[in-house]
This record gives sequence, structure tokens and C-alpha cells, in this order.
Amino acid sequence: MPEGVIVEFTGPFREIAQARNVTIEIEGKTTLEGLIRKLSEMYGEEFGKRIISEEGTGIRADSAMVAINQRVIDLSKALSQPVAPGDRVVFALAITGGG
Amino acid sequence: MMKGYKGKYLKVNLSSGAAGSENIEEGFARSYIGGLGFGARTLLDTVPKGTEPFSLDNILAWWTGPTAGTLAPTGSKYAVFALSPLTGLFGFGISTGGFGNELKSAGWDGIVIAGRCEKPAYLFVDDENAQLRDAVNYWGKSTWETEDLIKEELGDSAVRVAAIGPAGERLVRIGNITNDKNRQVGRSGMGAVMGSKNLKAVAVRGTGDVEVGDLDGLTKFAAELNERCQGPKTEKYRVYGTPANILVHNRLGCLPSYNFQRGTFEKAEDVSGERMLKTHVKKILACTNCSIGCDHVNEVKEGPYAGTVASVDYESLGQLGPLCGVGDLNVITKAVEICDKLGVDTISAGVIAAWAMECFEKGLLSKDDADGLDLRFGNGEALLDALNRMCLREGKLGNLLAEGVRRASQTVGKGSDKFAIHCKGMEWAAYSMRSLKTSTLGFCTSIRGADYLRSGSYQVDVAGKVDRFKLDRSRGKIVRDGEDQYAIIDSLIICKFTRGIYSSMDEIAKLYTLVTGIEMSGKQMITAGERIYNAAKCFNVRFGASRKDDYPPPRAFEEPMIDDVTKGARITREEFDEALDGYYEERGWTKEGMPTKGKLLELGLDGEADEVGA
Repeated sequence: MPEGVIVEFTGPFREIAQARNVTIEIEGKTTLEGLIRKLSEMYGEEFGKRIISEEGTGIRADSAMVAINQRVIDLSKALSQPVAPGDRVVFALAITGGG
Repeated sequence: MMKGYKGKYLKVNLSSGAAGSENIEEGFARSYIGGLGFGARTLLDTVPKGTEPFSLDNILAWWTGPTAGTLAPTGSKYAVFALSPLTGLFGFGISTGGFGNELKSAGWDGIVIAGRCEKPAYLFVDDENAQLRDAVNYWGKSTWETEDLIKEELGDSAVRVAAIGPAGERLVRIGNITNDKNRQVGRSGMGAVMGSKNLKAVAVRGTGDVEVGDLDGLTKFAAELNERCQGPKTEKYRVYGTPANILVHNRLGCLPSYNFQRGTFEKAEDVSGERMLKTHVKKILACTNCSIGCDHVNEVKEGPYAGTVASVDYESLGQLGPLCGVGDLNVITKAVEICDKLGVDTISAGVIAAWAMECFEKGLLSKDDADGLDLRFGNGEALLDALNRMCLREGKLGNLLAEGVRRASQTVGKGSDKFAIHCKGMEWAAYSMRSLKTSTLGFCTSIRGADYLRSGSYQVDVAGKVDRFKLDRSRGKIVRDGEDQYAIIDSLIICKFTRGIYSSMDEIAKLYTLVTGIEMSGKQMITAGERIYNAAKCFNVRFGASRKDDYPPPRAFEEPMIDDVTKGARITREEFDEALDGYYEERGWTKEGMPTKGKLLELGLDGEADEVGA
């Protein structure tokens, strides 16, 4: 029986998904890239475009933040991060401050 | 002749009424850039050791940067400096809006104000002319009313006014200066220093131009920068504004709530930026010279606070909301409006109120001490009442809270200092101490007190560049680099929201050269940043600061976090000491946090090397 990865959305990702969170069922392990691909299939290409850099090699550090089980992922190494059933993954706007 | 700069500042003595012009030489401008750099130098040169913040010897220095009044994106800022009545150390705040541009157009890079008016007055700078005018009838008026009344008196709605509210008049130590109604010189109590000088406002009318070094080059570069300001790097500011941080911080367990006892808030969704955008944001404004537009102005549409209007950013939202256990956007918007109109800093006000609530719940403040208020966490009405009392110094509670959280906790005693959340006496901004540890190091080394705006060191924590639950020696370099870079941004003075649109310090140097005509490389800019930061540090050393002042409050060490997502997180003294050692080493300072003679001489701070160099 496949288990779920709990995915939470804030900001523009919530608007695209029209949901605060969703459980994605996966069999065995996948990577963050695999998870984003699955979410893009569900919510359209815009979802992936907002996260994956134009070169397709990493996450867009200027506008996105991804955390897996409360650990913020170093965006330059993010796509190969393993994601397993039971994990909680957050897609959010990069944190801002200053003025 | 220097371009960008006007090459002179206005010197005013409120006691004698004398005013005059002082020149700014190119060597000085090159070494200290403007804004923060000019302010650091002015305080070092004019405020002697032993000065009391509310005494005649304290000054109030207003500085623009070279970019003010030019096409440089977001360059319209100005800053005000004084010995802080909140920290007893280097005090300043930066504001934006149109005041800085107007001052430059009037022909001045800054104003240095000494002395005290015999009775309430305001300073009117009308191009080259300066005049002290009666403000007795404005004393007691809110910041917003004062701005309207002065414009009406002068018969010119385009005059720019920076005013204090009743809080500054009553020497509330977190008093702000407000211009353009919703832009503030916040933090460290510059409004209280202004109040101590019986100076209600500074009004400026400027009709001149600011010449730049290379107009064609600047026009082209500014257009390119403005284009970048419309790109993805700033979308987060334009669309969601900083309140979008609420949900992200909450998910990461680093949203301070209940006076930093916790890092999550059960009503985070109710006060989120996403919710606010749908239910409260009336319009999104941009400051003068800004093509981003981040200012989210809320309006309360119904209920007892209907009609309330206030700009609500993440810091105000977090500290007057979750930190006080309040999950109602109507109440939070009203709280911000009270702070803005009466003239206090929203971050400090929230932290002070949250401390009082914890004291109340722990029985350290009785209902009598709280002037009859039921000051429990989450009681929005009591929060608003307490804020009004604080701003007006009304009753026992108001007078206690008006002193800031450090002094208030010393008065109450009974161990309440353990949860008075500050560094150097300045209340902690809305970043968790125990689950964003590089951020905490940066807050503690900040020259102004607990401050996210001096190094931006939280960025590596929230970008996953480091393990945010750990500290080590290497974090010192991250903080130091951030401080030197931000010192330049705050000296030019441009908005930190644009920091991502410059590809390197060389591009920032290019902007400086196009504006001023003074050749400068990125490396030279960084050296200037280091000089400026060391100068401000020397001022703090003059007033007794040392390693002991660079620590977070006891809660960071002694109380592990209780939220599920960050359970058990705390800072050990050993790891903090190691990180602080690493920072001092990077700075070339002693283990006690003292700048060495060698470092100060290397930076051209010869006088300071003699005075405070170790």
C-alpha cells in the first residue's frame, strides 16, 4: 500500500494548487525533482516553472524556498534530495526582510 | 565639485537659534559615503563620553546618501542619528518616502541639530533658509495631524514633514519620527531624542536640482535596474509583501509567538500575508523613486475598528500579533495604527507588550500594576489599551512600558529579565532566537541592538545554506560580510529590497560612481563598509560596550523550544561563544570584542585608535 508525502503550499504555490496541502502517494523513494514533476502534472507547468531554474539544474533561489521535514534545502543541491513516504515538504516564497 | 552630494549640511543650534552651513569635503565623502557613514562620523565627532541621551549634549543628525534626489532606484531614503535613549549606544533609524529627496533639493546633504528649544517649535528648511517656528499648538498632536497642520500653516501641500507624536514628546524610549504619514525613522528612539529637544517636526521645501556625475550613464543604468526591479527577484515584495513570511516562519517553527516562548502560532493562517491580501489590503504603495512597491496598506472594513488604516509589514504583524498571542487582523491593524499615529516603533512595542503579558500570566504584574487591564496573551482589547498607555505614559503600566523592555524588567525584577527579549536594550525583531542561529549571532553583534537589518544573517538560515540549528566559528565571516555590505547599502542609502538586483558590489560601486563622479571599485566600497561599521562600533566602545553586550537573552540558552517542529532547540553557551569568537577574529578585534589599534589605523580611524583601540 503506497504511503503519502504531505506537501504544504504558501504564497503563489497555494494559488496555483488552490489548496493549503495535499498528500501525494508514491511508491518507495523519489527525489524532489520527481515530486515537482508529479505536482506539475497535477497543477500545470507553471508550478514547476516557478520552482525549477531556467537551466533546469536547481531551484530558483530568488523566489522559492523548499523545506523537507523542517530542514530548508540548499537550493543549489535541491533537486536530487530524496523524498520518502511520510516526509513533509513545504513549497514557499523565499523569506524576505529589510527595507 | 562633487556631484550627487550637495557638499554641505545645515547646522542648527536650537538653544541659540543660530543656523549655518558647513562644507563636506570629497575625502570625507569618499571615506564615509553618506547616510550611516556620515552618521557614525558625526556621532563620534560630536557626542562625548558620558553624555546622557536626553541631555543638551546629545545631537540629532539627519543625513541623506548620495543617491537621494537622483534617478537611482530607491535612493530617496534618509536616516537620523543620536545617542540612543533605549540602548545608551549608537542609535539611528532609516526612513523613506519623499523627505530625503526634498532635503537634497533644498540644497543640503543633511542637518545636524544641537541644543534644545525653549518651547515647542518646528524647523522649517525652505531651500537655503532655515527658520524655527512655533509649535506650541501642535504639541500633543499625532504624527498624522502634525503633518497636515504644518502643510496647512505653510500653505503648501508639497512640503515634506517629519514629525514626532505624543510618545516622542513624553520621552517614550521607543519614540519614532514619522514622515509622509506611514514612513518611520524607527527603532532606537530617535523620536524621543527629538522630543527632549522640544522639536516637534522638521519641514522641508526644496526647489533645486541634484547634479550627477554622468547623467546619460545613470539614466541608462537606472532604467536597467528598474527593469530588474520588475523581475522575479522582487515579485515577493510586490505581490505578497513581507507578511508572506508568517506562514513560512510558522512551518519552520521560527515564528516568535507568546513572547518567544514558542516558534509556531495556532492562528497563523488567520494572520497570514495570504489572508491579509484577500481581506485587508486596500492598496499597495511604492515609496518615492521605487519601482518595486511593497507597502501593503490595510483597511479594517467592519467591527469596532472599522475605518482603521495602517501599513502592515511582517515585523509589525508578527510582534503585535503572534508574539502577543493575538490572531485577529483587525486588532493588529489597529495596533499598528496606534503605534504609527502616537509615534512608537511597532517591533519594540510588540515585544514590550508581550513581556508584560507573560509577567501578568506568571503573577509578576498584578491587575493593579496593569492599571486594571486583563493583560493575558490573546486579549486584543487589553493590548490596544496597553499600547495607548505606553505611548502616552499613562498610569503605572504606561510609565513602566514606556521605558523599554530592559528597563521595565529591571524595575519589576522577580526574574522577569530572563524573558525580556532584547540585546543591548533593543527589543528583538520577529526572528526566532533558537531555530535561526546565524540570525541570532547577527542580532547580537549588531551595533544598534537586536536587529535583522544590520547583517541580514537570517538569509543563510532560511536558504538552507547552513544548518540553522547549529552555530560554529564559520558563522562569524557570514555575519561580518553581511554587516559590511549592509553598511554600504545604508550609507548610499538604498532599499535592502533591491540588494538582489545588483549582481555584485562592483555594480553598487558603479551606481556610486555614476551618481557622484567619484571613481570607486567594489573592493573599495567594501573597505568603506568595514570602516563605517568599525566607526559605529568605536562609538559603542566609548559608551562602555564590550563582549558582555553581544549575547542573546537567557531564554535562548535556558529554555528549549516546545513546538513539535523544533522541539528541544536551544543555543548552548559553548556554541555561541565559539561563533562570537569567530566573528571577532574575522573583524580583527580582541576576544573581548574591542577593535584593535592596528585594525583602526588600517581603516584610517586614527583618532579612534588612540581613544578606544586595544
